[in-house]
Amino acid sequence: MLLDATTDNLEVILDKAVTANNITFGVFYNEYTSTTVTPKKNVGGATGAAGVNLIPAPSAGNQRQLRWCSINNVDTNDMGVKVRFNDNGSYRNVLYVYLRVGESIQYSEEMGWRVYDNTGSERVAGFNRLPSSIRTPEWFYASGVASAQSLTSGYDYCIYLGKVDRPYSSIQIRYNVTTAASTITWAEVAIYKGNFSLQTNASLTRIGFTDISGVVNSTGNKTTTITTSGLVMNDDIWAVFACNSSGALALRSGVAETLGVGYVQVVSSVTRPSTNLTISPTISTVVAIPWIAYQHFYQGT
Amino acid sequence: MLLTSTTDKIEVLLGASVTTNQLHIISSYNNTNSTSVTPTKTVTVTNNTTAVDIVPSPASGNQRSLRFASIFNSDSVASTVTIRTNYNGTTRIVLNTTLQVNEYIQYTHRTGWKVFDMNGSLKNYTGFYDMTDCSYNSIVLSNANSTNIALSTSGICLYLGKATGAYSTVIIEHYIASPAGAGITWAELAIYKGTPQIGTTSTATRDGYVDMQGLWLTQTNIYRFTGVNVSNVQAGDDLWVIFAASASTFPNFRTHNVADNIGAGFIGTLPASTRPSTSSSVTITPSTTQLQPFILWNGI
Repeated sequence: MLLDATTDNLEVILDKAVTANNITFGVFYNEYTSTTVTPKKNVGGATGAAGVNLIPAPSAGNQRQLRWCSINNVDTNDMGVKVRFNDNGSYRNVLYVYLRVGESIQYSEEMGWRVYDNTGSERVAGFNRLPSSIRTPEWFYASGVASAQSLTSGYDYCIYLGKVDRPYSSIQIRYNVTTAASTITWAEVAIYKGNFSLQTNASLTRIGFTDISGVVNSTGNKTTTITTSGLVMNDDIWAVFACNSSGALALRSGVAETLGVGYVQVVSSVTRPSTNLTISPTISTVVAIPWIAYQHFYQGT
Repeated sequence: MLLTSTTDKIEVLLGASVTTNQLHIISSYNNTNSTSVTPTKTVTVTNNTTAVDIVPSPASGNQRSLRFASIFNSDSVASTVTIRTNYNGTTRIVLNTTLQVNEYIQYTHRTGWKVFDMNGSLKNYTGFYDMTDCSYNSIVLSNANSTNIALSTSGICLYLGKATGAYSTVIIEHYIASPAGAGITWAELAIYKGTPQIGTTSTATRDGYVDMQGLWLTQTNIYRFTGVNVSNVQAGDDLWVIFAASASTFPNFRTHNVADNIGAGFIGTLPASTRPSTSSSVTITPSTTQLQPFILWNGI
């Protein structure tokens, strides 16, 4: 990549402010004048949504040629990282990806820009079956039982949906209200993310929620869209239903997950998703699993 | 890639006009003449279906060697991108692909042209999985195998999921519990393509079908594999299989014993008497009562 004008800059920019540590980078490039070639380096850090120079503009008559670059997420949270060319104030994107903690972007003249996970493995797509456009939880098995699960007022019912293959911007949830809630204080369906581990209670972080108090006050099939943010490829996501009402909401369900694997977990106290960024449910072997399907969208498609 | 003539260029153009933003183009290349090597760059954007130079033509006596290039989809929808050489008006396609939002194409002189997804992952060919790809439908609704369902004038539409490669044939295994009566006038098994919409109707386009009249008229209590030749199935296409017939007595198929009660859209029906061979496009209506025939499918 070449900078040959005094208004050319190669920049890195983040999609939000860092939490604890700057996103670090190291850059090596050659400075060309009419008579010399001088290797140079630039080591620094990006702090947030303001462009920081990976390579600053050359002086008049000079050129700067990128040789190698590494950008590392050494913060404590996932981060969206964009590399862009600043052409005298016109920005041209090179790449825009989400990095988990410990992941990195690297450029070399031979390989171009590549993304590596926290084990040093290069991200490569395509080894897995493409997810269907409409999905049920990947472990879903409805059985011949047409049951209903009544939701205890205010409790969070958390259903593991599986892993995402991209940072979805919204998710639609389809479910069936078999008994409408009455005298509703609040009712919400939310998407949380948090690692799924066999027979282990989850620690979940909310990435989106939608008010359904005007939806679950009647029976029938319902579709709710939840806008999400902060997802990264391979995140484990969960759908969370919660309804605080005097007349209990019931959802069409199948059978309970009697093995206690952890697909269904419950917060057994009044816990409103919209006011609880994190929740800590526990595994249930008796809750009949609400029958849901979902469809995901990335940047509107 | 090398340009040696004043009429040589490397170009990029789109399959259709953008919706919101043109795609971003960055390239760097060496301009060489008898006395010097001058690194040079291009920073620009696409111009819809009109070709834009990634590397413009060299001056007389000069050559240009591409070192790095990037085309990034900054639009709000997917875009079909063609990269081509243009030698004095004769164009040759180098790469043609569809970029989703935030996906990009990248060239280096060492690795050539590569395509990356929005995760920064190098897109990799998955065709070798196709030969062993054998799947149930997208949803398994029960484990009961003692239920049979008769086909009706509304047909049965089952969402299969996404194709993992470019198929020429989709094989459907199904179980014929009892045959149609002599009054059958046509019977067809078809593959359609179309993105399902959760909880609402979906539009699908036919990609292949086979005549099933002989099989469904004569077979009883037997599994059968049927290959449906398809003409334009690509990786990522959403596939449907449609069972349809016109008969006074319809054939029965082995099914799961639970319907898609939440009407998500995995199972649907057609307008009455829709015949696949004469219906290149159909509207599929989700059903909360239609039972799902047991099937196994394989794309090859």
